Amino acid sequence: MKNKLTEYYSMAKFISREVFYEAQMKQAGSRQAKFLEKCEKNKKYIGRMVLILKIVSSFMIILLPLIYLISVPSVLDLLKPSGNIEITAITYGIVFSIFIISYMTYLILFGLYTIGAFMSGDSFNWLRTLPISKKKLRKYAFMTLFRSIDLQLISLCVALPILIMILTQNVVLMLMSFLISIPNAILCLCVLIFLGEKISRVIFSKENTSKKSSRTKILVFGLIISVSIGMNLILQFIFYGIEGFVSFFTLSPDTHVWNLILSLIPYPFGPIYFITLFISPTNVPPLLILTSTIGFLLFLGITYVIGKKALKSIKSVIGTEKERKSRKSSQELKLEEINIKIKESTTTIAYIKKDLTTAARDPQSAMLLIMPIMITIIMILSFSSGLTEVSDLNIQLLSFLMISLVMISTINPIMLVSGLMNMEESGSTITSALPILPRDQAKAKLILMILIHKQFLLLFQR
Amino acid sequence: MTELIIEVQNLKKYFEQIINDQNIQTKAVNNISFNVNKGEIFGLLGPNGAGKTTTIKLLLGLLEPNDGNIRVFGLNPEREDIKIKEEIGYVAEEPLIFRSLTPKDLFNFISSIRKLDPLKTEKKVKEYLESLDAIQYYEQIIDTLSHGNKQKIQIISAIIHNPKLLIFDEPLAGLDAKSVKVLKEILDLHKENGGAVLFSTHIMKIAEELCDRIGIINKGKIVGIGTIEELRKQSNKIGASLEDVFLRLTEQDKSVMEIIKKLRASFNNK
Repeated sequence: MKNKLTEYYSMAKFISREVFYEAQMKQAGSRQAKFLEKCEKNKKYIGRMVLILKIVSSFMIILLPLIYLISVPSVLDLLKPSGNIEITAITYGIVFSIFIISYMTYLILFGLYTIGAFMSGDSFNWLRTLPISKKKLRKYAFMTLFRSIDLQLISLCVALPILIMILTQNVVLMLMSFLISIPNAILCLCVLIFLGEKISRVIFSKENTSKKSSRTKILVFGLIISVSIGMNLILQFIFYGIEGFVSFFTLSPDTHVWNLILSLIPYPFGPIYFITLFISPTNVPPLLILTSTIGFLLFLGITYVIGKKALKSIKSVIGTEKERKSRKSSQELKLEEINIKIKESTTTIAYIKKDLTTAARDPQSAMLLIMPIMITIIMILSFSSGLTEVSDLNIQLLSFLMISLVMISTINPIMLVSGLMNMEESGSTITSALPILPRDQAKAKLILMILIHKQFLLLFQR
Repeated sequence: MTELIIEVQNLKKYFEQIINDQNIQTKAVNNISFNVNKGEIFGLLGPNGAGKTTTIKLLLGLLEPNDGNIRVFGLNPEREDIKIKEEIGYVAEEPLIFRSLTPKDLFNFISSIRKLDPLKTEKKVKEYLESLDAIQYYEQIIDTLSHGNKQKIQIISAIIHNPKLLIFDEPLAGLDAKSVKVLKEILDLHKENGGAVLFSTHIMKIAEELCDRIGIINKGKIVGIGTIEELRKQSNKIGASLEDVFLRLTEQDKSVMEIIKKLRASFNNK
């Protein structure tokens, strides 16, 4: 049995590598040639990328929330033992619930592409033609899924216990948090599988190439990238405001009622309240023990139900083409009469049109144009968050303007130039065969860059 | 009596699509019947979208038919697909292998899945790689290779286990002249040793040279089947090339003539 498991695990290495590769190729979009070039130069490139991504995402899951504890000392003050179990319970309940949610978000952000590629089922197309029984194929699928995010899942299981051990130095609490981390990791994985399934239909679908689906792809891409970049900002805002939020509950005369209500919410409060029962078991009111236990059992129940559904989704990934088609929404085709019209324009305009059309069709190219603006906004907000400490409104406004102008005039153009240059790599073989003057090419790029940059400045002025 | 390797009777496969808000059934394979015998190379010839790949997927048990009977080695692909796949070597039109692996990793993977003898497999892989001029790509990532070289790796991965039946879907796409010659030789040797080949292509010359019998498929239907001579008789084109026979049987001959006329007129008016 053990040998068989090892065999499945070692064979899953090849499949998970293919899954990762599929995900990377999709992410590369129109810059696939560059990615392939790196693979050609270094045959260990994919293997290294897999390892680096695993290590980085595992560190992010464990370390990033800890950084906020250090950078926002008020959170540490909040978690100091108060002597009142009701206050301790509500404080722990809120603070650790934020951590649990942040762990889940990081797992989703780092694993979404890989799991999306896995859920598309494309990596199993060839395996289906080999003499592998459905039962075996299912085992390979489970092992592949695990191998794709094994380190991240292990990090998810140990992140909360490490955090609790650092903050409370209570071994019992640490052990309890480890026990609840296992179902929590399962729940996070299931959520990731569902989201991966959804994203595979949008991003990994080879069938739907309509304008509508291109727009959806761009929207989803934008959303993922904004959340990935903005996650730190969101956590920063949450932690800066947490003191006031917790005070609302702790200073309320009905803290015990709030505790009873929150502990009944299965996720994220259910498991956290269950741990807090072990801070001082003899002092916890019996009603809170009851509601916390109910909340925890509900959390386990939800994990079980969602887990079963996720299993079904995984099984459909390796099913026959018919089974896989049934989970895809039926594709609707509109047959229209095709009118062929050729419009004449200058080389520069033709180039600008080419870039804009590429951006409208290819999410990665669109991101190259949208990202400079998004990143600049995020950077402005991130740097400005510290200005709340400044009491003088005029200085606050002046500092905000200074930060914004520096960001707009530095980050935006750098990213735009790099983005527009990167766009040039797609279809380079076609353009290199055409009689184009490099000056016209550069002119088109400059006009597009000025247009985007100007639009952003106008937007900012408003 | 000849031994049947593939037996297809009244096979039907329909797909449903919503076109202009109407649910329309596309008949990808519409009531086709053919056999492939032991020691025979059978060519499935047809234009793009004729139903060749769908037929192959049905034979492999990758799709379920709507109606009709399929037997491969006397077994039903829907129920006994594993036993069938053990004896089949399949080459897909678009390389259907793990693109992220090197050929070295890929052959290791296949050898483990098919439980092959490592020493014998090593020897065979080396022989095939050398004969197809692909030995230098042994440790390169497959997706970084040219289409033709990817196809060579796919072909080797389909034949290293000595299958009784080879199913090749457009296997020559992108192959250089030397490799085409070597592949033809491999197929002939396979045939001489009692193996069977189902060969799907739209290259007439290759089909004419290689296949013992040909089935011409168009719009999901078999419109002609037999040896080249028999097909010529069926199309009333005695002495004609397979290309002319094919165009006649698929009723494309008149439209091709009209297109040629239009093109000539357009070129003369330039």
